[in-house]
Amino acid sequence: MRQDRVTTGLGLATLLSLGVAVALGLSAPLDQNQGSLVRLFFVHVPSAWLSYLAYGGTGLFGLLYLLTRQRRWDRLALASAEIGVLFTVSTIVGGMLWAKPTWGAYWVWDARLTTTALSIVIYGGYLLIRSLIDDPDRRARVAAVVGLVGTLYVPVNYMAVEWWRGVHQTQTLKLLGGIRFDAAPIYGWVLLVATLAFTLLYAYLLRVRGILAAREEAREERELMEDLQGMEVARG
Amino acid sequence: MTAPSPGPTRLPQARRRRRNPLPTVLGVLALVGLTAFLAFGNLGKSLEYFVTPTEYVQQRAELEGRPLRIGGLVKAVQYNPQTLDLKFDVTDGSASFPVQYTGAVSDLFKEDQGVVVRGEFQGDTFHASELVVKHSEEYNVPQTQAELKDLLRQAE
Amino acid sequence: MDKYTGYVVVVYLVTFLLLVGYLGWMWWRLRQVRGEEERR
Repeated sequence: MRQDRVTTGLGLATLLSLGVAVALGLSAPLDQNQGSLVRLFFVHVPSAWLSYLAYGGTGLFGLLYLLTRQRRWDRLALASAEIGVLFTVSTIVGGMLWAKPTWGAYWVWDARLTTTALSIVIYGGYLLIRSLIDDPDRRARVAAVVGLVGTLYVPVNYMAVEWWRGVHQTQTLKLLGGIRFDAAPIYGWVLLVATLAFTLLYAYLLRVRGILAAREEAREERELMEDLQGMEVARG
Repeated sequence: MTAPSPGPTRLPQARRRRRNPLPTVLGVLALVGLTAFLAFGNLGKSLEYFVTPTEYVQQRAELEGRPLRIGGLVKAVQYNPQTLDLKFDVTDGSASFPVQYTGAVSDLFKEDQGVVVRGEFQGDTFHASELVVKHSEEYNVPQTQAELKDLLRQAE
Repeated sequence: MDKYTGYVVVVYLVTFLLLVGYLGWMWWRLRQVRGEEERR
């Protein structure tokens, strides 16, 4: 990893842009109703965006695996799922601490929050199923199917605030029926910077986790070979 | 795994023995727990989080006497900061019900704000045990100096 | 800065601590795999 220039460069770019995003986010002007709480917008929304990106990645890489049967797509699908769970947790933690002073409760069981919690079950299950299957090809196949079906979570979670009545706000950035951003333009710019920074972060994490997955796979194969030799010796 | 063919197919079993089962067991437990929690938290409730006052008027026969959530806009707020007694009307424009609640509320609670209350009807008054404020998805910087000063004063 | 600053700071901190924790976990796993390679 240390010798890999692309990873290092990507890491530096991510670090820099995250720094800029945090600085902008923490100095954004106060909202007329929520005061400084509006600054949570710039981590909560990009975290959720990153988790969507990661879950979408798990589905896409799974599909690519099924089409090409190249193991590297399976490794990226695994990496992506892990990153997705991590950022779902960040989104939930940030959201809970935003909900308490505004809604008056840390948690409510409305459609958006419930489906978000469900994604941890889906992708936690995905990671668990992977750990239970020993045969790498079978594992990759099963995981690809689970990951592909799991991607449904993304549109359902995104649309949950529109489809069902709940407490969670609807989208500030409206994409359906004409693009519109219902906030002060300055918030839009800060959100854009933060979202780009988190997108870079996804690329970086995916790359590093992918490298780790490749190493782990090499180890798995090595162990398999050792077992094979050991058996042959025992039988020989 | 159970394929009875001889030779290399027995390998995965040789490898499995070496693995520590603890993470898997913990993982399964965590997932089962979370699923149960999700099911428990949502049991008997539909994905629609609340009913509107108009819906309550229409479905009064089924809903009466049952704990439920009502959502709408806040009108005619009467708040006693000493006793924390709160009275207001929740409305969706066509139907309206008086609500009683005791306790502190979020700072965003004010006239015309969206609100979801959980509780029971006693007569025509809704006795709420839980109050959640819905806020707008719009965020705005105060426009004038006066507003800004007002904001800073409130924030103290 | 107002009375909500605490919430804002905690959320920023938690988000980035989670990230740092994850990076640390990845680094630890990478080191383990590499250590095993070297021992051979």
